[in-house]
Amino acid sequence: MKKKLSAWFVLPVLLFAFTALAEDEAPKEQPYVAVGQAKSRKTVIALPGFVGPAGLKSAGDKTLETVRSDLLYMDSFQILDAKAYLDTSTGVAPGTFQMSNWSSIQAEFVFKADVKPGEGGLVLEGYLYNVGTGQPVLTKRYISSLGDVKTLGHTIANDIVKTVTGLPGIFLTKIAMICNKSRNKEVYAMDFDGSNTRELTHHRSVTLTPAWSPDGTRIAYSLIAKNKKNVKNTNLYEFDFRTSKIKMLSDRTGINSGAHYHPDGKKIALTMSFLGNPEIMVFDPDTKSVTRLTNSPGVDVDPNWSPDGKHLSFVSNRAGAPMVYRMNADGSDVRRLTFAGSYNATPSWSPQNNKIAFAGWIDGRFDIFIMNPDGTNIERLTKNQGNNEDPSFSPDGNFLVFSSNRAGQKNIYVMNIDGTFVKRLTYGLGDCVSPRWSNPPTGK
Amino acid sequence: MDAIREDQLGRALTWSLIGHGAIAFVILVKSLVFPGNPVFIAPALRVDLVGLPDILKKDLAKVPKALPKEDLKEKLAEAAKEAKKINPVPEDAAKPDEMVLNPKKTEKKTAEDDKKKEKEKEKKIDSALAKIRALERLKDKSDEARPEEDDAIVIKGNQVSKGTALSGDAKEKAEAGYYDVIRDHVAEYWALPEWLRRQKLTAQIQIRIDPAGRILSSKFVKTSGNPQFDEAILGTLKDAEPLPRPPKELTSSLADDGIVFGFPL
Repeated sequence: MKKKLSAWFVLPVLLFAFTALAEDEAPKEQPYVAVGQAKSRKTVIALPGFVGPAGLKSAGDKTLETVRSDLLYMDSFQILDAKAYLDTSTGVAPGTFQMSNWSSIQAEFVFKADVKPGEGGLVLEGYLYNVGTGQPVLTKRYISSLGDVKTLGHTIANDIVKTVTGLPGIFLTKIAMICNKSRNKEVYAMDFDGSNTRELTHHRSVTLTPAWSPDGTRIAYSLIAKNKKNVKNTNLYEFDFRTSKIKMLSDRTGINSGAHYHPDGKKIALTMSFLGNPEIMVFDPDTKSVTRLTNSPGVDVDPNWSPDGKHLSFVSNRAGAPMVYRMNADGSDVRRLTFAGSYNATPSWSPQNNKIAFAGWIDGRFDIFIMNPDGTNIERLTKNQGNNEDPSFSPDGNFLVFSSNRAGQKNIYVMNIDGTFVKRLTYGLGDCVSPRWSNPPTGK
Repeated sequence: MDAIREDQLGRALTWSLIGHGAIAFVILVKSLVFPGNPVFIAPALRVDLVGLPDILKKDLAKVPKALPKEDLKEKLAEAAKEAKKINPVPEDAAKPDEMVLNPKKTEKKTAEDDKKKEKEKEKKIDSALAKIRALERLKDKSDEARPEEDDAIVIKGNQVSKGTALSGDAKEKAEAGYYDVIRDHVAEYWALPEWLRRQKLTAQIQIRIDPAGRILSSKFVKTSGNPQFDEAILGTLKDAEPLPRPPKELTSSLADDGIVFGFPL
């Protein structure tokens, strides 16, 4: 009997030993280290002068100068000094010059072009070469009038940026804003660099919160006006660049402001208070129908669509203090994004879909902050520079335009999305607020 | 009676052993043939610091780390010197009310008060020194226990602390610590221009490291297919030399088998 018992004890012991052995024999793996995402560094590009007849030299130089300053604006290009260029040939097409002259001075890209007289002005044939592979990555012919060479330069710069970075160039985009130069708050538009400012409305009243349609042909804005009962109301209007005409979209009782076009251009999200309490609604300008999105006893304002049109960020004080929230395009799945600070306002969703910028109240003033679309990783972009409000992303997601009173009056400024290289855009237009950046023009 | 009970016990034991053996065998075979996913054990405690950040994003790289131990010792020495320099003349004059009411008595009192004040000051400085020494000792102890602790100042702004993840083997910890250090070191030199960065290329390279941190050899385990990307990796490794010195336990394996780096993952 006892023998039988001891025999059965041996089996599990063997089993144990077997499993222990099996673990020891697991193969040793070589240590693997994932280095992670690379940091960004500048692209080195060379811009030799354009080849062409003497009569077109000044037009060619102006064009090249525009391309140069545009690429430097991007802060991601390093332009090699012309004194270092070794290539002296006049050939611009592939195979007509030595690429080694460019690789030896460490250029990564080189743009060569020649200009010829053409109908109405000049014809420019340009090639952008990847020096490493020796192949042209952009080959294009441009036609321009002699008086319009700045636009030609901007177009070339847009194409270079699009080819190298994959993102749209911003050099033909515009910025809309509200300025009170004429003592009344009117809607203005200007180029991305602050030039060509133009007053669009002459209501002689108070306008608010302009918004670009995605195709850049219309601007929606709000206007405080007296309605039929002689009571002040904030109505929604639309300015059309094609006809220079203004159309009223909504005069429902109360607030109709904070408009933001859906990426398909057919609907507008805005704050409406005709139900009593300010809520976020989606308005169809064609049918004039209204869909309610938010349903809370608090105040819900500042709607801003995500670039894919599937979500909105907005501000609500339903939890006490105004905080940034997000929700789906149908109003479901409302999620609070900010828990820090005491008053967060005017969120703007990056077209690269990777960040949301907002203005947050801290230490007695507003400053610009940026965070991930899930509310994590809040980073501060401005500090000790007055009040900084109303951030709005550029269409490539690389810049933020905002309003700041650091110089006394409120002016429009642009900075990189890491807070560096702040540039002032407006001068002498009074107080300028609510800047909004347009998309690049389509079909050019 | 005993024989029957023994027999029953024997049979019960055998069936129990067979059953346990069968279960163990099935689990063993299953884990060898169908390995499951490792279970993620989250850290026990998670603390979220909620406040808008007070340091600008562009200045984050310049934030100084906590004072090294040598500075603290210097400060201790300075404080001790000051304690010895105490001036016998009191800083505060006697209150005017006391002087007017009791002119004669206040003179004596001020002299006694001076002495008392001196003693109080000495006591305060001594106790402050004692506190600093005690904190120093604590810090020494805690530093010994956790040599890899990061002394960086925590900046406000939705930070999630890593919690206290427990790990068992000390050797494993030393290895993991070194791999983190070498990864952070190489990542400092890993930069690409935008047009290469957005192409989502990946490559893996195996390098062997000598005990001084120099690269003995490098060989691509998997190239990216783009020669410019591969060139950038070689350039990064060249700039990163000399690499951080490996700990003693790893010198032989790093020199013989090496490490495989994944760019970016």
